[in-house]
Amino acid sequence: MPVDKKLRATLATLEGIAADFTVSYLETSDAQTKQMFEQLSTQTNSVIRKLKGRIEDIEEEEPQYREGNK
Amino acid sequence: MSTYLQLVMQIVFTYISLLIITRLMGKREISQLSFFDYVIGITIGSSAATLSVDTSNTLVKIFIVLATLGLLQIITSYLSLKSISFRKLTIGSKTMLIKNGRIIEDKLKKERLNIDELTTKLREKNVFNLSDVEFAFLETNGDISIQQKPNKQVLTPSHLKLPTTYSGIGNLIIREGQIDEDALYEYGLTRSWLMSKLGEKGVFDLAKISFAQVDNSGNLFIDSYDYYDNLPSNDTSNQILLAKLNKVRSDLLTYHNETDNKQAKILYESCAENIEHIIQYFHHYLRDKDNSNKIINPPKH
Repeated sequence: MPVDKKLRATLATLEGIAADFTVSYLETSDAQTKQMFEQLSTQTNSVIRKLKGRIEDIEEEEPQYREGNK
Repeated sequence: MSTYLQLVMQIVFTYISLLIITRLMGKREISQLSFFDYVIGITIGSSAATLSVDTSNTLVKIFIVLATLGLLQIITSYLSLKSISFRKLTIGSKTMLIKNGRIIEDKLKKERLNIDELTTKLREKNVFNLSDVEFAFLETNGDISIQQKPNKQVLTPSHLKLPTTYSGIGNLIIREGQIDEDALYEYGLTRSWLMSKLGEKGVFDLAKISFAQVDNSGNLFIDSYDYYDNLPSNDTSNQILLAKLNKVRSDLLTYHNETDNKQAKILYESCAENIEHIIQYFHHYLRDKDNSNKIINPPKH
């Protein structure tokens, strides 16, 4: 599997995790737990941003990957 | 008083001597490959029993009897290891009872085995039809071994020319809450690998595990002391989430190792660190939740 596809798979997993954290955040009534889930989802989202940046870089450097995706 | 004391001493002495002698004689004697082995085993046992309770014997006498018997047996097995003719003399050789599906009555007579005994032995081997047997041997230890006719043999992957993979054996790596470091080393595993595997299963306390086995493809099987811990947790979704996080972390580390780009390396590493942080944070939350649950609702089981 080309590297960008692998990265996209990881990214998708991470986005799923972030969504799960957000759901837990919304479902929790306990203030402390709510805060924790908020933090967890923020942290996950920051990793997602970093990875997205990396994927963009790869596709810029090696356009064949992008063509391969289409 | 002194006779009682001597009795106790004699028994202790016999006990220890037996332990040493049987260990020296090895596993071969336990498997009793020949009738002779069997008889020798009984002889050693009964002489030990007789000698140990008779206070007229001295410790030296007990030792001489046991050591001589043991030594003789070791010498005999050593000689039969070296010389084939000696082996035939002491152990004997197998007897062919059935050849190409026909019973050899002469051999049966020679071994003083009747047909009923033969069929009993065959049934013990799950063979109920004499016509299924191609060859049968009476082994020196009294067992019968059978080669069934080709059309009655158990179907194996090789008959169907099915490809198989090496499966190895399950390796015990945790027993009674303790990691077997030697086993880990032997199978090329690391403690951190084990801990991360356990983490995926939501186990963070080694003392709770009675048994953990790893198979050839790296699957971990664990058994906890608490029966109910073995059942799938009711908050599986959190465990799945944790497993996913661990997966992402290991993926990131793989990318980190695979890339040559320095900047990318740093990026992957920092991502992996962030995920690690999230995992730990989440871990703590789950554990605290677990503990507080236990305090609030005492176990239902």
